[in-house]
Amino acid sequence: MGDSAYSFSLTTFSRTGKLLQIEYALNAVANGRTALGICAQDGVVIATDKKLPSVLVDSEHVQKIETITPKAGFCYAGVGPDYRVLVKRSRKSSQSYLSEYGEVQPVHQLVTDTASTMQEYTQRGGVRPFGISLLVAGLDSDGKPALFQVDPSGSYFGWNATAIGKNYVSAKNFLEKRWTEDMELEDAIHTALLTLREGFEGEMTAHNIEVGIVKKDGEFQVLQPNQIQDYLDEAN
Amino acid sequence: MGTLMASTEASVEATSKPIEHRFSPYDFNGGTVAAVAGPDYVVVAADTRLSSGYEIKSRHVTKLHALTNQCILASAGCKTDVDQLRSVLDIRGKMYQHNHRKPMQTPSVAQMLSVTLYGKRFFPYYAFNVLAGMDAAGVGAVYSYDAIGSFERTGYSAAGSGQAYVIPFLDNVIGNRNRLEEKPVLAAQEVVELLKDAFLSAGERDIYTGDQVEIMVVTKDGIQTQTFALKAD
Repeated sequence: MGDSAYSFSLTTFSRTGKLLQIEYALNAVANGRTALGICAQDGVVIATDKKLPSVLVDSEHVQKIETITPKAGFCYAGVGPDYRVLVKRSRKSSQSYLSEYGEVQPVHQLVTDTASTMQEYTQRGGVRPFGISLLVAGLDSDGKPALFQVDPSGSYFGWNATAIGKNYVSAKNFLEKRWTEDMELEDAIHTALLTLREGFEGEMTAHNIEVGIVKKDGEFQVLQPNQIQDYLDEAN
Repeated sequence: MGTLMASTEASVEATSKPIEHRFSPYDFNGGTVAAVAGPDYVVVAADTRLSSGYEIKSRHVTKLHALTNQCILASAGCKTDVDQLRSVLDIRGKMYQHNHRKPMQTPSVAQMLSVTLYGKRFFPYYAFNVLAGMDAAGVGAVYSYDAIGSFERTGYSAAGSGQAYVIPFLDNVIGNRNRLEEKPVLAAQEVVELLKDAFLSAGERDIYTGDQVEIMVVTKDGIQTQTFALKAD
């Protein structure tokens, strides 16, 4: 694989010191459907727009929010197939961690591991960077909730609240005004839905969005449409 | 004439099978280790004699190794394999600490030791381990291992050449086996005295156990060490 004609990296520096492939990857992310996350005192919520290109697409078979460990999950904006590869790889890696240390991989370790894979794809021969930014919601080893963003370059950031994909600028402004340090998970879920609705094209229903939460002493779960509907009803 | 014939026949018998000389990578350096878990402490003890064959190589070599300040690895077997195993665990422990910014908890050390041992399933570490430490809830934990990583959390354990003398004693006194009275809750100091008795008995009958016993008591505040003299015979 890395031995023949493609043993050189396709991501090379420009004269001005930029890695253009990574910049272009970030463009692909900015074209993706909005995803956002909020870290509350007692949990984390991530949510994304699941709007499908046509009414003929069966939304039940599309899943954007995925559980990686019992205590952490991913969401993304960007190129879907690239996301699937990372999900599979991160799941395998966190299982290795469990086999080695007898404990669930803490979210910070999961993030650095995933980020390090994404960085590898900006330097290894013959591959291109992943066209996605990830939002990682999870609990650390002492049970504290955390929200991270991982970019195609492999940089990662811890956030109190953030948004990626289309309309991320206005979504982040909206979140900046609404996030408070003593926010609870229930408030955070409401705020997340309101923020998502701000930039939503058309009507937002429980079937064209996805929400994932992890509570402080609980496990990561993707909410069912009927649960999302309850929150939407309350918001109305 | 007749006796000459007989001796020739006998020497043909002796040389008819090939004699193989092989280098053995293992040596048994002897000694006994034991550990007992309590509600908020764990006591580990090990003798300090290092032997090879019928020789004593040293009377002052420790079998106890603190991997964190809450977790001790006690090992008997082949000293060089024990040293290497400790080295590998120390390195992995440091890497964990760099990544996590905190030391490994005892249950994680237990799992990691198992995985490390199984990693050499087909050329094992000749080390018979007992891991003792404080678990995440502040309760004493003892884990017993075989040479290839099979492990189990137990209330007490012993390994090494004197294992067979120590375990039945602990079964009776700590495990309350074959006793009619209710099982008492023991304080750390009482357990220390019991382990001293156990090692005295083991030292009497096991030629590889003796000289000195090193006893470490682990609590949430750290590790305290004491020594106890045994017979030097």
